[in-house]
Amino acid sequence: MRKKVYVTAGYNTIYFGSGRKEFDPNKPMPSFEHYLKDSADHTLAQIGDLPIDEGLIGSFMSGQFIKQANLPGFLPFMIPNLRGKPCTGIEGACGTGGRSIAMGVRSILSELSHVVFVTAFEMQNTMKAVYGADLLAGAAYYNKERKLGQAFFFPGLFAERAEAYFKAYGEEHARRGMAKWYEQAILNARKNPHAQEFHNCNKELFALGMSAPNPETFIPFLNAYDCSKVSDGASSLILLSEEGLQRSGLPKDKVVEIVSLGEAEDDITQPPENLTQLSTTQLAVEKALREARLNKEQIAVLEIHDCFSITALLALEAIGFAEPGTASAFILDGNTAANGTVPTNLSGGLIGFGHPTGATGVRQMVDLWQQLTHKAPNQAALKTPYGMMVSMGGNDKTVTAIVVKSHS
Amino acid sequence: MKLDDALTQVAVVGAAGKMGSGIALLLLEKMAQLSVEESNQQKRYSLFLIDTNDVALLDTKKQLENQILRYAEKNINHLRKLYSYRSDLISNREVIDTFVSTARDMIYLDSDLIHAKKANLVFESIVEDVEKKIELFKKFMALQENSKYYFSNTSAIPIKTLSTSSGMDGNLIGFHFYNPPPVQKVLELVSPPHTSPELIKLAKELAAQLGKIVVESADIAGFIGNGYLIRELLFAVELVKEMQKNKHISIEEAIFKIDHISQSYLIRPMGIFQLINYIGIDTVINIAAVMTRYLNDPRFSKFSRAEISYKPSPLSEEDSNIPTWKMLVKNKDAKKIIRSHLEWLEKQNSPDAIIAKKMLHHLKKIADELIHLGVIRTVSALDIVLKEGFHHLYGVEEIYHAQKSLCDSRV
Repeated sequence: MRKKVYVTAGYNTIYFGSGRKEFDPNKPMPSFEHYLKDSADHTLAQIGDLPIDEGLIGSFMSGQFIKQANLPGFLPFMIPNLRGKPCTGIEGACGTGGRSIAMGVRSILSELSHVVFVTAFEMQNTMKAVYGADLLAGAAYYNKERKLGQAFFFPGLFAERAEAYFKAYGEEHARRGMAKWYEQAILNARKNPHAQEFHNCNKELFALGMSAPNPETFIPFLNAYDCSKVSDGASSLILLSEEGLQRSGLPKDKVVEIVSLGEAEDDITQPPENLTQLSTTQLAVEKALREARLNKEQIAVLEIHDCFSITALLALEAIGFAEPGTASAFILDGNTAANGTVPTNLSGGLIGFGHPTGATGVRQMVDLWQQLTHKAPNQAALKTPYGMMVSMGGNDKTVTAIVVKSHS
Repeated sequence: MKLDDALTQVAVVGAAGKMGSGIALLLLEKMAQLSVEESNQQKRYSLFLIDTNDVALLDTKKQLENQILRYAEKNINHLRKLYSYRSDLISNREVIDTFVSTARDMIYLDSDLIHAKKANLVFESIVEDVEKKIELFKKFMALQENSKYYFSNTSAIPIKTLSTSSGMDGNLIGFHFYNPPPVQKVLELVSPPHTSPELIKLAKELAAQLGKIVVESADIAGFIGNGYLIRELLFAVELVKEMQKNKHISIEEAIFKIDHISQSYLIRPMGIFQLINYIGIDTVINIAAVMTRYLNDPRFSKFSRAEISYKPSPLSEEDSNIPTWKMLVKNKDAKKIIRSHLEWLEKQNSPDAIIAKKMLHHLKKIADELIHLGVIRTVSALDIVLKEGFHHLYGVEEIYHAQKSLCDSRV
C-alpha cells in the first residue's frame, strides 16, 4: 500500500434470524433503522468525538427486501457528523462488504479522506425464504439463469459445484469434510454472543452435517446444514489514514493495518470454467498475498466466505491451503480449528455467525480486527501478526481479499 | 371414464364443514396441478362447493385460498418443474401467484345443488344422517345430466343402504377420509357388491394420487375405524362401571382413571375418553346409533352421555417409568421400546396394569370380531387404521408378537 490504512472501532450487531432464541417470525422484528443505529452507535463509542470525513454504506438488495434505496441518505441518520459530507452506497452482492472496505481504502489512499465510516447491512427476514430466494438470485445473471435454476437458487448453484466436486474427488470424504465444517462453525458461533447460531446447543452437529440432502423439498447434494441461513444484521468500522490515526488519539494496539487488497471481478454472464474451482477467489488472494509480500503460511487467522460448506472447501483450495480435492482432509485433520495451523472463521463464519448478505464482508473485517487486537470473544493464540479475509460476491464473481496486520 | 378427465368437473357437497372443506382442499390441490400441465391447457376445470350455509362457504373459500398458497410455497420445487414450459414465469413468486390464481378461478360456490349438475365426480360430506344423505342422493339422481360417480364420506352408514334407497345402482362408493383430510394418510374404501368396477378402479387411483393409504372395508356398519372405536368404547364403559363399583368413586373419577390408564399404559396420544370427546360426543352417539340400527345389535348404544363424558382432573398420577407417546412418536427405537413395554406389562399385576392388559386383550377380541363379521380379512387392515388413522404406535400384531415372545422365553 502506498500509504498506511488502519481499521478500528469495529462492531457487529446481533445477526438475527432462525436459530436465535428470541427469533419468532410471527412477532415484530427489529427494523433496519435499529441495526444501522446500533452498529453506528457502538462504533462511535469507540472513537469519541473524532470527526468523520466520509461515509460508505453497503447493502445488496435493500431496494427489494425493504423497498429502500438511496442508502447514502441513512449515513447522516446514523452519524449526524456526516451531514454535509460525502456519502456513497456500494453494492457487490454478497461481496458488498469487501467492496465497501476497498472503496474506503481508495478514499484514504487518495487523501480525500482521513477518517472513513464504513458500514454494511442486510434485512432478509422481511419475507419468506421462498421469495427471498428470487431476490438473492439477483447476485447471478438473473435473466439467463433464474428460470432454469432451483427454487432455492443460490443453494442450487452451489449444489452444482458440490455435484462436480463429488464426481471429481469422491462424495463420501467430501461430505465428511463438509459436516466437520458445519460442526466447527457452530462450535465457534457458540462463543460469539452476537452470532445467529449462538444459542445452538445441539449435541449431534457432525451427524446433522452428514444428513442426506432432500431434493424434493430443497436441493440435491447439499443439506440444510451446508447452507448459511437467512439473516438480518449490520456491521461497521472506521478506516483511518496515518493522519486520521493521530487525530483519533488511539494507540496502535487498538488498530490493525490493511497491508494489501486483492480485488478481482469476473464476467457474470459467463458460467464458471471449472465448477470445482473458485478461480476469481484464487486470483484475488494471489494478488493480496503478493502485494503484502507474504505466503499463505504466514497468515495466522483467516475469515473465508462459507456461504455453503462446499464453498469453504473450494476457498481453502483456492487459497492454496489444500491441494484440489484435499480440503476435506485439511479440515478433518483440524487445521482450521482454533488451535490448528490456520484458525479459520472463529466467528462462526457465514454458516455460524449468519449471512446478511451485504454486511458479511464488513463483519469479517470486524472479526479479524478483534482477533488481531486480542479482543475476540473466541480468541485464538496467533502465531503471526497477519490475518486475511476473503469476501466473495455471487458465484465467485466479485472478490475482495484483504490482508491485515496487527500492531499489538 | 378416465380419472384425469373426470377431475375436470368435481363437486363437494357439505363443503363448508370441517371434513368437506378438507376434502375440497385436497381436490383443489390435485385439480390445480392437473390444470397446470402443458397437455391440459385446453381443458376447463371447475370445483363446485355446495353447502346450505352459503355464508360459511365464503369463509371456506378464503381458507382454501390461504391453504393453497401455503401448499404452493411448500411445493415450489414441484411447481417450478410443472411450469417449466412457461417462459414468462421466472421467479418463485410468479410461479406461486399464477398457481394460486389458477386454483382460485376454478372454485364455484353455491347453496343450490343444481349448479353441480355438470360435475363428473361428486363428494358427499354432509351430516351423518341416513335420511338426509338418501334425500341428497335422490336429488342428484333427479338432476343427473351426464353419468357421474358419487363418493360418500360416511364413517359408519352402509353404502348399500344409501345406494339402494336413492337408486344409485353401483355408482356410489364409500370414500371415508380421516380427520383432517389433508393431513391424515389413511382412507377407508367401502365398495359393496355391484359397485361399478370402473368406479372402484377410479377411486383407488384417486386415493393413490391424493397420497392416501387405502384400507378396504366390507360394507358393514362402522367399517373398520368406528368398528374398532365403538367396541373399545363399550369395553371402556364396562371398565368404568366396574371401577366405580369396586372403588366407590364417582363416575367422573372412574372415567378419568380409565382414560389415564389407556393413555399411559397403552402409550397412546390420547386416552379413550379424551378421544371420544375430541371427536364429539354427539357424533359418537350418532355413529353408535347407526351401528345399532344396521348391525341389529343393541349393545352398541348401551351407554349414556354421562358414561362417556371426560373431565380432566388435577389429580393425575405420573407413571415415570412408562415412556409416553410423545417421547416415542419420532424415536427411531420406538418399536424396540414398545415391544419391551408390552412384555413388561404382561408381567405386571398392579390394579392399573391389570386394567391395561384387559384393554389390550379386548383389542385382540375386536380384531377377531371384525374378521369374523367380514369387515376385514386380516388383522393388518385394522393395524393400518390404528397406526395411520388413530396414530397408535403399535397394532394387534405387535401385541401378539410381544405375548408370543414372552411365552417363548418362559418355555
